[in-house]
Amino acid sequence: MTGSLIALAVLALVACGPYILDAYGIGLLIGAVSYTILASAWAMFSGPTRYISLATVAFYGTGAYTVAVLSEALPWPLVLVSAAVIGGVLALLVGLSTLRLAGIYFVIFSFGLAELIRQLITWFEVSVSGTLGRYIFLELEPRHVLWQLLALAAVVVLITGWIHRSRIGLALKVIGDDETVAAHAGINLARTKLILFVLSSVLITLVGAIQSPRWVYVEPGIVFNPQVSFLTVIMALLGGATKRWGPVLGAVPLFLLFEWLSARFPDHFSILLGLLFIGVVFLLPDGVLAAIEKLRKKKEARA
Amino acid sequence: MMLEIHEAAKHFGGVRAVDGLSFSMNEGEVVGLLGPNGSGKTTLMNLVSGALKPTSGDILFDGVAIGGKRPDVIARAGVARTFQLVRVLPSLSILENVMVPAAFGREALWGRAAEARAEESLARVGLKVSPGKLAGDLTYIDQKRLELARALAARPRLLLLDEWLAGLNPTELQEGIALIRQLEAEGLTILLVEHIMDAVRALCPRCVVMASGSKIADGPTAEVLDQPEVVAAYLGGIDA
Ligand SMILES: Nc1ncnc2c1ncn2[C@@H]1O[C@H](COP(=O)(O)OP(=O)(O)O)[C@@H](O)[C@H]1O
Ligand SMILES: [Mg+2]
Repeated sequence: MTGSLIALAVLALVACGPYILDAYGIGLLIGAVSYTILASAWAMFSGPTRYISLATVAFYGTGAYTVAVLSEALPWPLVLVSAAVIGGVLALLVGLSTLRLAGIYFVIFSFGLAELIRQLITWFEVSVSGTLGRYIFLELEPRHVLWQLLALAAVVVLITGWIHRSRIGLALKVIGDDETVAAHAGINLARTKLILFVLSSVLITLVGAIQSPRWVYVEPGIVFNPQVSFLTVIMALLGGATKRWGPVLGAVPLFLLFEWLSARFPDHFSILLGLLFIGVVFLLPDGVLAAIEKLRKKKEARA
Repeated sequence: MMLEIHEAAKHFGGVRAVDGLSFSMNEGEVVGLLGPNGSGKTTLMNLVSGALKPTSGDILFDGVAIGGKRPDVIARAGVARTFQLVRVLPSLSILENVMVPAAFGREALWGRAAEARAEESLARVGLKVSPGKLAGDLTYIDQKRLELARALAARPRLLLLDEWLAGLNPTELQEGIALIRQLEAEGLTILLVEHIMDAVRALCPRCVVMASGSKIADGPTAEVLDQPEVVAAYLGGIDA
């Protein structure tokens, strides 16, 4: 409870950023808040189920593309609602067909999903609508994007708080510990995972939709950049996907680090990212916090 | 009949772990399931609890077919179990562990009602540890107690115990036997896999004996244990 209140207070504070920061600063805030939501939403599903999903950009890109297609036809709130509905339906279909897969097949499928959607959209744009790129002309300034992201972050805080106190939160903890026990205690595994996957995917879709006006010009290759998926996994895992504030602790410093790295080593950034991804997945799958806790326990046991 | 098993079979590739086995249990009965290691007892428990789907055959609980149904559906129908290799939820507190079946079982208790049920189940198995402690930190015997408390928290009608008494010291064994007797006296229907013959004699008026996936004997415990097939199956087979 106090945790949620502190988080909401921090969000309110960040909302004042545009009054003191320049365009570059606001851009940094937008990136940091975007990745904080992405990592938190990712961890909502992948933390307890331990499915490493690389589908983040599939939903993120779907959100952005929905805006590109609908922004002139519909008022902005309806565009966002449409993005959420499309992301949700997509997640439902994907979830129904993949959540029975074993972990490693799920990773591969989730990675392929973004590529599949990218190719589908490319094919559609080229052969049906006859244009590959699209422009997003919206009267939304960076600060408006930031405020909307902060509002979404507040929704995430409230939803996570609610999950922790509700039946589905207990079900998730049990699934995280032992799926066999969970099923034998009466928990419907498939339904619980599906609900979480859809919820997480809708939030990710909304991040893509809300921050899309930043791009102005979009095409599938820009929007469906696999780096987004990898960054999200690294941030959530390094911070600790099973801890409530883990993804936030991972997202903010890592986003800043990645900004610096990609400016400093533009040619080698992808390699660095790949190495980091492998390192995190193998060495610290439970996050830095959990690793520190383990070390501390070991020390205590020895003392 | 509370539980009817008709020609149930489970094959793993070429291994016929359960090979066309039939028996029934009445409400309130306590039946021992015996057999040498690898004879298919755990697999049969898995078929009844829904952990595995039968290759063929029917399993009825209260006249309703449950063979091949999901474990959560079977659990909500009123079947609970413990596991041969004890499975507590290590990162949950003791109280949370036991609340789970109360929350997701037939009655779907929540909040204070679920906690009260968990406390009651913990008291029943005599687990006297602070309920806020993490289950992963418990000793082996207390983990076993916790697992039984968890199974009881759903108020099941059929309880499946897979070598629940294994690994206990003599004092704990006596306590364990007394505890199951108590459940028996309350009218719970129990199917229990057990290698400790003193426990089987003390608890089970009736036994079913398996060998290589098939039933080789079924009847009053004293008679069954004297049958030459049973004695032969156990020679060289049993590890207890
Ligand atoms: N999941 C499984 N996959 C393959 N073989 C299995 C599996 N479970 C059990 N078996 C085999 O089935 C046989 C019966 O095993 P089990 O039911 O555990 O016997 P018991 O509990 O009587 O000792 C054994 O040969 C075992 O190796
Ligand atoms: Mg066994």
